[in-house]
Amino acid sequence: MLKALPSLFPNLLGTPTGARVEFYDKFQREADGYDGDFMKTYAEDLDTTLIFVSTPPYTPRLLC
Amino acid sequence: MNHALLKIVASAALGNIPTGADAAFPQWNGPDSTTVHVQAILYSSLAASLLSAFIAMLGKQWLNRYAWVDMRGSIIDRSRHRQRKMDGMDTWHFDLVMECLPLMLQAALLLLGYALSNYLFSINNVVAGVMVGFTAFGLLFYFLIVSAATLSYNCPFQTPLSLVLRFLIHFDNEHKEYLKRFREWFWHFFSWGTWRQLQPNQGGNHSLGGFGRLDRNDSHTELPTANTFDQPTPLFDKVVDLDEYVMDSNCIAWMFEMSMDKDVIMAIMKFIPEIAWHAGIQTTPLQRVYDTLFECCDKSSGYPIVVPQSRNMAYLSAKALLHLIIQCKSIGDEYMLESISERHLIIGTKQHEDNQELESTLRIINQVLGDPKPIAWHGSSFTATHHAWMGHILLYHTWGVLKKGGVFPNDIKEFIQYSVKLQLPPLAPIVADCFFLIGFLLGISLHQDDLLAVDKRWVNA
Repeated sequence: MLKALPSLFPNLLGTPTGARVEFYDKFQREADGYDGDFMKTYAEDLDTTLIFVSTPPYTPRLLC
Repeated sequence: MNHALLKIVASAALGNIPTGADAAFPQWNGPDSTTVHVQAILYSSLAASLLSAFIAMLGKQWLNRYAWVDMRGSIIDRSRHRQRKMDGMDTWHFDLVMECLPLMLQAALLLLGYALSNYLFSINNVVAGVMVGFTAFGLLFYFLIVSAATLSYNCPFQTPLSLVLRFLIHFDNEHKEYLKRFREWFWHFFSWGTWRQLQPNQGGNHSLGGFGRLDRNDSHTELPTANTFDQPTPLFDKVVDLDEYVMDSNCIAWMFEMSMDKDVIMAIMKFIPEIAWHAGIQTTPLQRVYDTLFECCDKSSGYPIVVPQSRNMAYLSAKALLHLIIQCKSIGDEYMLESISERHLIIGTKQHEDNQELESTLRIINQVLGDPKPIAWHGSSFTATHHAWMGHILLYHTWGVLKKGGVFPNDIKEFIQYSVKLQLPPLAPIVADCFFLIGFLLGISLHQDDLLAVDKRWVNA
């Protein structure tokens, strides 16, 4: 009996289905927005750090 | 200077006692000790700053690597790849490393302030006083905001140092409790009303010691990672790639955190039944899905009734919830269902007669969560898609019941009769599910993975 049964549960294959594609379409949009903000925030923080760091190297010369 | 001293000692040893200018004790002609001390601290400050710059540049490279799309393929593959990178960011605490940069700069600033204050004292006390005043003010301010942020998670002045302190305090509370004992002694010693007001609340989640409970995964429940109960030998080759489901579940968890949009939630609910929530998946959004279903209900009468405007959402949520519950039961994890079973209110008996697909799904949920009332199938009318999905769910449900030593449920027998007696011939998946159910009825035991097998023509034997 079992050998005669055809493929039963195509949804469990991991193959793209309507629900999967719809989900990942929305996921991609959400991820693009999030990643844009994520990159912008960290890039600004790092730029600020680099600007701040550029001052102290001159201070030891004050005492020489 | 050392050379001059050695010369004097050598001359004395040879019997030539130096006199006059030669005998004068050599004087240090380099920078004074204060300057050396100050220079050392200033160079420490400089080193800390340069190290910050080095890590900042590395951070830029890491960000570029994250943003770089290094994969071709479908939107699904790219999304999974992106989620893998985002999970890596969380796992390796990228945010913590980035927040350590300001900490190093703060240390560099502190060293600079100390060195300048020290140096200026040797020149002019008034000027040094101004410098010391500003440095002390900055230090005091920093100490106060770190203390406030450590004591209260709701304080907006959170810094990396306060987060590290909160983590250490939580770690101590979990293990040695040295700090707890010290705190008790401290509050006992300083028992004024003013000090009392600053005492951390022991019971709240947002207080000191409750830090570990502030988890981003509050809406998720831990799944076990191993399946311990005995099962019969699988009939089929295991061909399903379960890793993809792990990535899908991570994407769903992330989307639940990021979006409250109704369309997004509906897309998630539609997608959840497509995933096999196997034992290798660490988190499942069971609680969140359950809450979403009940948000679609009006509970003013003390009895949850689905609001007509929310029926689509309720149906999708109910399907997703039932799928998760059945799969959790299948992997032998009853523990995570306890919290839901305890607070579950029976929903949907006569209120949704005009929507039998929603009604049947809610009835199965009620039954799975403890309602002993059997489901009557005769006279029901479902779409073929819903019927096929429900047959698969009932197959899992029956498998779970029999696995625990229960008897074959009568309403499942009725479901088989109902399915094969339809006027139109049922779809192949429904027929297959009914055959499997009949197999159970005849006493044929199956491995859990057999229910997942892709192509049932490929039997091992």
